Amino acid sequence: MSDRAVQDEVIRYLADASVRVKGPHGAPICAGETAKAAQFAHFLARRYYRDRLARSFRYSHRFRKQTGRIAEEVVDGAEFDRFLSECVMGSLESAQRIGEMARAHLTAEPLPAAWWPDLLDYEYAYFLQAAAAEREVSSDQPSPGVSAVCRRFAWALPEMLPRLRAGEAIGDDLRREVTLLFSRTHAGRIYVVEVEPEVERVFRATDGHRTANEIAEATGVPAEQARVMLASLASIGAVQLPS
Amino acid sequence: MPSFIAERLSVGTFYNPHLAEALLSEGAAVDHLSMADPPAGDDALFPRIRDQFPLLLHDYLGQLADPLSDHALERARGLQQLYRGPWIAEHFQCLHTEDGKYTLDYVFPPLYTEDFLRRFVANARRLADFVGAPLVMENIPGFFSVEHAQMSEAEFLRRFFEETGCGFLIDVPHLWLAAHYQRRNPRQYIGEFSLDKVVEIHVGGVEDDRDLGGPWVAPTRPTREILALGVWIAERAPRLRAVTVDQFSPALAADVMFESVEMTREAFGVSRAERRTA
Repeated sequence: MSDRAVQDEVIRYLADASVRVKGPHGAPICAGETAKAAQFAHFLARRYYRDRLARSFRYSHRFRKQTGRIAEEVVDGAEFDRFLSECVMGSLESAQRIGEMARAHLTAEPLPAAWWPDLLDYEYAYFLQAAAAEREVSSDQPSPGVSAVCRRFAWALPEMLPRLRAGEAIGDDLRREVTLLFSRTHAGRIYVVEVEPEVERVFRATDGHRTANEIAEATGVPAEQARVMLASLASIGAVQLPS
Repeated sequence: MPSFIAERLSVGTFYNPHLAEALLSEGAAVDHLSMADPPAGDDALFPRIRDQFPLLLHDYLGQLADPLSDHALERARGLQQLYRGPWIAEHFQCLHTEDGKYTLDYVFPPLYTEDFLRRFVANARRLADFVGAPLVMENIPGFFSVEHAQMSEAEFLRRFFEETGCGFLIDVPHLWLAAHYQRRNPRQYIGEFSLDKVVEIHVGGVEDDRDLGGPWVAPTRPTREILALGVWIAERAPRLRAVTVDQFSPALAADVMFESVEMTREAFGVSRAERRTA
């Protein structure tokens, strides 16, 4: 095994709790040091998710005086401590678990406003992009990005967020249905875009099994138009096209 | 754009965008700023920051354990063209797997072996050549021991500096922590490193961490011990140009930042300078 491959084993040992359960094996960590390595792995995970929660749940953070809570607090709780023994840093599954913890933590009654659940859904979907660094497994057909999600909201989030930043009131004028697609590129750039119904249908029909033509057929979108949409979705990491 | 003053030690800190207004209004308190992230698109104060302070590129440019991609090299060159600092910085780190599947998202040292030394030497040369600026490299502490090393951290760094001609960005809290967890005397431990190659010193604070059960770096005021070690290094570093307080956090308060810089000035005996624009 090359030195570079040995280093990869050490990194895997720190990032993946299921690898630590089996013992160091390929990672050259001596028996007396495994406890310290586990401590360091926990430090890394707590730091990683605290940072992603702070960046993703930044709008709900503005209401901390009303709610008495912020998303980052979940990494100091007992549930997170239990999660550390199962955590795969950067995986979608880990991001979903932590995101759910944060959403539940911030959903305690009384809610600050009628749009609060929509805001938390938005921040949860954003968090999945920020915290899930997993790469797609290459597929012969167009497949969805690992963390890409399409969500419908009862409130116009794209207009609401600037108002929240400016400390302005949110009125019923923003009660409008919008569909947002959240995605992340390989380089880690996060996109949130409002999508039309046709694009949403194309995204939802992209399952790693259908060909581009079958996606067009299933969605009723002309084949050429569906291809353009898929290319556009691929540029923002929402789908992966076969190479 | 202001430049470093050649004949005096520059005392600075990191650019924390939420403190931009405070930095601009207290102009002479800080000599230079290290840039850990590119300026955000909505950072309206950055153009004024760039006009007022010399900037040092201290971003994540890529891990030099592996060859940098063309995109990473272009990005590094673009950032250096924006900042135009006298040198650029990277770290002795290897934090993600070669296939990109796992990342620690945090500085983590490589195995100190001949193979890794070859990799760092080749990739550092390519980065410095492509960007067209001197490269300084920062030491990274380990928290636990790995049984694969063929040399000490000090020897790995010494040979790297000799082969590449790169400068040493010596991070004092990192070395203090490495010594602490190896139960070594910090001065003896630091004395093994190539202090004659030091161009920049990082000072900073440490705090107890619940997971580690001991101290680790934190965006707090530098401790007296860290500052004293920094001064001890400075006395042995004829190429030293800058001392930077390593504090980069959205939670950092302006008073902590300015107090930390003042403490550092006092320790190193450097008064505030008249700002000079090139």
